[in-house]
Amino acid sequence: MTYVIAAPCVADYSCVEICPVAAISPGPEDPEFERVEQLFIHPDVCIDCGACLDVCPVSAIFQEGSLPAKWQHYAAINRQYFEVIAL
Amino acid sequence: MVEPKSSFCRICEPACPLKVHFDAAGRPVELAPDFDNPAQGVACHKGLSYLEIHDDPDRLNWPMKRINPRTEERGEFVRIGWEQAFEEIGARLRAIREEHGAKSVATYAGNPGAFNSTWTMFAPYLKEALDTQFRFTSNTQDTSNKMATFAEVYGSPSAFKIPDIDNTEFLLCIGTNPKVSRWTLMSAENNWDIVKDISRRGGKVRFVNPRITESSSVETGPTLLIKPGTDAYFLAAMLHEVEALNGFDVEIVAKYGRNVEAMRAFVRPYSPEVVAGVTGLTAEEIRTVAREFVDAKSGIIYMATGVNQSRQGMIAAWLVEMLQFVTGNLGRRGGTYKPNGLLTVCPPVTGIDRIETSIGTFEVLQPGMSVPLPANIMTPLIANGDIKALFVISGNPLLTVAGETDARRAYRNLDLLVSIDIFRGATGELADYVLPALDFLERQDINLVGSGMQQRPHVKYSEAMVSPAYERREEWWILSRILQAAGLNSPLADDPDLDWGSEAIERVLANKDLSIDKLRSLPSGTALLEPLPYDTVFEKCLQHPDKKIDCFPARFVSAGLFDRFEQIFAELSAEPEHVLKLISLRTPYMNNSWFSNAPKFRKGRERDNPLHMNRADVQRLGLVEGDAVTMATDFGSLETHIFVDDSLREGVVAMSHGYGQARTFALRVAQQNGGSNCNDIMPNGPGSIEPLSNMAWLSAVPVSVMRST
Repeated sequence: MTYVIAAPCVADYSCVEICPVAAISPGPEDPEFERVEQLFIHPDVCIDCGACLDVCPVSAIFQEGSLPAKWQHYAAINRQYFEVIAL
Repeated sequence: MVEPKSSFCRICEPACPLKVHFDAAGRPVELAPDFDNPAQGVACHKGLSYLEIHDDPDRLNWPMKRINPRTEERGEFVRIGWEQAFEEIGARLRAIREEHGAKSVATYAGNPGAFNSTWTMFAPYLKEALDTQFRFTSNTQDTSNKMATFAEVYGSPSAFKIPDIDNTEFLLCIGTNPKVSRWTLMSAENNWDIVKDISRRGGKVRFVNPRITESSSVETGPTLLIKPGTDAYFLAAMLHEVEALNGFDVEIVAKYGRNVEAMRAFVRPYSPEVVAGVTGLTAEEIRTVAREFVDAKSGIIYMATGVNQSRQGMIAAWLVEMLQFVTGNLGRRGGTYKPNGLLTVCPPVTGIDRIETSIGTFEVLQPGMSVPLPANIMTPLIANGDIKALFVISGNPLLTVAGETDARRAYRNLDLLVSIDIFRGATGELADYVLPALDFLERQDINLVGSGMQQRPHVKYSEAMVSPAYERREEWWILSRILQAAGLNSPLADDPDLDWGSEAIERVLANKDLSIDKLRSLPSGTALLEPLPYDTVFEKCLQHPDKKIDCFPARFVSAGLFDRFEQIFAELSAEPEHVLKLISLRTPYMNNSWFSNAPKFRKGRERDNPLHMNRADVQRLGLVEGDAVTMATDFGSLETHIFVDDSLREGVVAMSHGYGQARTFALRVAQQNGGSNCNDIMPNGPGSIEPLSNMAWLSAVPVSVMRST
């Protein structure tokens, strides 16, 4: 199970700093950081600890199964970001 | 290239496996999950961030001696050698014992010691050698009500059982937030899917809490927003309703129960309708949950710290045990059971020690110290001179026991205060000597505390990942040297080079034909233990001479617990509207008072501990978010600020503890970050203690909140 970053994300990167397994990208040092509109959680790296949840200033992070209906598709958006990077 | 090594976390009970990575010089540089551990479990951010503690520049490195009087808040400390420390502490201990008797010496052990097997095994030795009954632990702040209940109901304070979450159809979690705090008195892997899976396979998960916690979600189950401190009445109504639904397993109850009729009679008046007003739940909500529990093929009621701390932890724990037992869910697949472990013996109660003090007589069950003296009486006993010397082992009673203000004043009276810790915390700041201990990466260990409480029974060994830096030493060694210097029994007396820690670990491993070498040879240092049949619980845990489960214990009656239950019910029924109740808030960024000095976790809104309050209460009080407020109880007041939090029931406020360290000068991050110590204004002194369990009252405490002037 994983956490997912949804629409409210403002790329504040508090989540990147607290994630203990570097599951959240891109970080501020990453060249991609300037280009993306939001940050993403790698679903296969996430350990479901929830440390990112409350540090997000805009409450953009959800457990995958608890995504609000209007943002259900963000689980795929998060996953796809890493598939594209991997190519 | 230094190969990574397997270890395990020792912050909380699951002891999650870790993979430690090193730099070329052999220093640990990264802690990662160990996905290959055969016992499973994925460490969370707390364990994976432990290098924040290990590498903290504020760690204690050398024995230090305070050279200014304790009346000054800021200690002036000088570095001394171990020999000088032992000589001076030994001489003072000897003199205090000669002048005031052995009974004038007290020890307080904090919760980190529970996750340190060599200390756990040394503690009984220390008690024996010091020959004092004044032995306090953090148990009476978090869970001694359960041990005290087990002693009466089963005949052994160690009759721990765990919920079979993997196989249950129904899970009711009361006063607990396992997504954030993990499980307690249950060592379950950090894998939240085990709870979500209950819903996925068609079972039901329910939460009863004054706050919709991180654990309650659309994937797990909903929360019944109960009024704080009323869980015992909810549970009484559950039992009432289970009987009404013919939910008793007549055969099991007849076979193992005694005093069953008295138990039935007790809950008979507490129908869902009767408790609805006090609990804030509707009769229909209570009835529905009871029906779900009865209808499920297997079910679990799991209750933890929030209820333990709410004044009636014993009655609540007793009702939970009764609900499990009478429905046949004790010793059943999907219910509660006794797992295998290194130690599966539940020693029977052998007697009760009565300890005379200047403020009355207190009772402690024997053997063992699972229900110790209440930590809430330390301050008056120090103030009155019963206690002259205090040894604090990985604990911080000044902050974590109720009544910091009084404690600060009382601690000035001590002739000797010694703190053995990895930091100089708030208590250490007042100590005459602070002695540097080891963190979990610096010592060898086995996962002893979870033994007999694990979902996947296993034993694991970790060698020290790194040699202790500076002059840090293990607790057993430090205390043995102090005993020796005071002329008392000490394991080091005959053999100064004794490796007592290894010997103690080997002794306990031998119970299962294991050894350190054998564990080292296994993947991740882990040996899996054979599961035991579910009904082993009846053989292992039933320790009354008649091997029965006491459903209406006589000592509950004689201690006045049932009368108290009725009095508090009357009190709550008559309570005026809008009395705010403070509950303890657990966040993912603190663990008791651990991590208070970890910069990574003390950022943004986690810097301090605002008062969480529901929006409706904020508006009713004419406040807005961020407002500075004064929160007061009958025991004191503190300054804080408002954080709007609609996860709380109306009428409930919540605060985290471990903050308010402005006078902890040696922890620079914690000291700078502010916040308030909510324990300072919690009920304290002898009247604040639950009879029999000695539990403190730290949650569901009435408070008033007003804008600061």
